[in-house]
Amino acid sequence: MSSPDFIRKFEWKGWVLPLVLLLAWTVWTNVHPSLLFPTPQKTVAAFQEYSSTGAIWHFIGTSLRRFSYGFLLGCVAGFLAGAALGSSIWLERFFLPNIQAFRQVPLVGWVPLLVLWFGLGDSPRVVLIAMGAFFPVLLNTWAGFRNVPRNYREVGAAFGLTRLQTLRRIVLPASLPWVRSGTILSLTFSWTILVASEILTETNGGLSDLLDLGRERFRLELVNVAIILLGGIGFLMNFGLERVWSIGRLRWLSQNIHNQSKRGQTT
Amino acid sequence: MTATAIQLTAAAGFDRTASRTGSDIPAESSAKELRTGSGLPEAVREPEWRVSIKGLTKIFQGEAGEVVALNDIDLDIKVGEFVSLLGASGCGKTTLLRIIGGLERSFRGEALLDGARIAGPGRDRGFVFQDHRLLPWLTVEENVGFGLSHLKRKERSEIVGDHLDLVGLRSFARSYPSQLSGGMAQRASIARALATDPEILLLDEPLGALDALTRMHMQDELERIWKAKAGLTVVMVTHDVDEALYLSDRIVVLSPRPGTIRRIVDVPLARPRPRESYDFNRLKKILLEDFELSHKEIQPEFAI
Repeated sequence: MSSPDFIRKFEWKGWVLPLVLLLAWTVWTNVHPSLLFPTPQKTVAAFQEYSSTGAIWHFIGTSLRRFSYGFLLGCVAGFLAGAALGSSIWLERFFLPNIQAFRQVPLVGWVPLLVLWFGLGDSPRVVLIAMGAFFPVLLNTWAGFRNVPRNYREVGAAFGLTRLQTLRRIVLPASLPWVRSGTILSLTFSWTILVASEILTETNGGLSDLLDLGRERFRLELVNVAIILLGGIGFLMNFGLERVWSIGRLRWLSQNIHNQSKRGQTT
Repeated sequence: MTATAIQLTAAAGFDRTASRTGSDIPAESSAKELRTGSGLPEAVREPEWRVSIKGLTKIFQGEAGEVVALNDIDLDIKVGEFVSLLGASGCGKTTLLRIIGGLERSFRGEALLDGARIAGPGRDRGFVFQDHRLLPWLTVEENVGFGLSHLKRKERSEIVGDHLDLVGLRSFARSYPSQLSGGMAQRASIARALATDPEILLLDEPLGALDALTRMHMQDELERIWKAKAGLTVVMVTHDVDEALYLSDRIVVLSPRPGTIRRIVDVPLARPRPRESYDFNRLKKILLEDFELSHKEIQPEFAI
């Protein structure tokens, strides 16, 4: 591969809708000026104002730091727990029903407790974000381990693999498509939890400070900046994560998806 | 050999001298030597039967009670022999192959490999499934080397390279299975089974999923591979009479419910076998009669 897929196959169609919306936004707000609906120009100006002082980069840095700690922690813990439940029917029977019950508690409901337990620093937020990533990764990993095709296990058996070898050489790789989906799902989920955790706890410093500032000073263009940044960063992270899942040894994951969609089109 | 085996050789006047080994020496060890052209000690150590099955019965516990998949099977397979298990679906041919492969472990009777009880799968047997079952997360070369993880990297890549050459897939070494055609995937699967240097190759309808032309081409490939691997015994499950006739030294015809050996047919035709020859079709007719497909006897009621 000389250049990556996403550069060679530039797909413009996805950009049409955003551009149309941007145009409509510009026209509408300039024709009907309103404090409740700032123009794109004011939004860009607000961004410049806050980025020139460096404040915005500080907000982004703080939020990303919290997020990445929480997300990585949640993914690793979720994968380990899911792998354990997926490879032991005993553990599954003991813990899975409880996990299903536990995760029905809306995560933000834990905020008061977490603040009391972990103090006012970043820790309660990181824990909450980790919890957001934990459950999707856990359940997907578990399902992946449980759904390893019998046929693949039999290949292992035909070559006389031990239980541990089967786990490492058959079950683990075969479950990777599920783990991948788990992490991609939980990325979005955790990103949402990040904003909720920042709004719901005091002493901030993250991106939701922009939301607060905008509301307090009635400068909705700041809210616009925050929303666009949150969406844009989330999108880029999602894109990045999908790329991470397709490099080197993981190339087969995205290759299979491409082939399946190709087959889908022809039949 | 069993009493049901039919000796067509004399009756049909087949040319025995043009058999695979280019010789009419009947002893198995001699045949092996001629094919390998290598030393004697190995040939002396070879047991008479690679596979020996006696009074084998396999019963599956189904929802509707017991299903007798195989009933009192006796079968001996010689070293270096190419044997086909031929029958309609449900005759237990795959079960029999899986028992030899060690994938089915509970059965009554005796199943021996080189004189020892078959207790489970092992590297001495290579198994090729009907669906190629290449692991999608491994490249073709990694799949072929799957059973060689105990070897050092250099040694492994040498063996893998040799086997990729054997099946003509060297240029696809770095490809993933999803990038291969059906025939190529099945060839890679055969290479994987052979890479551990098994004494016996077990093929479970290996060409069943391929189209007719690819299939005939792959039959030639199978024959070539079998010849290239000295002393290799092959047991192939198939429901294709032509395929069995084209490739086998002996054909074991199984009949269903319960799975029993109807008869064992020797195929002493010279290789490569012309599919349109008189002898080929004569044997084919005999085999088809077993499946009541040869249109030989026309029922008077229907002969209007």
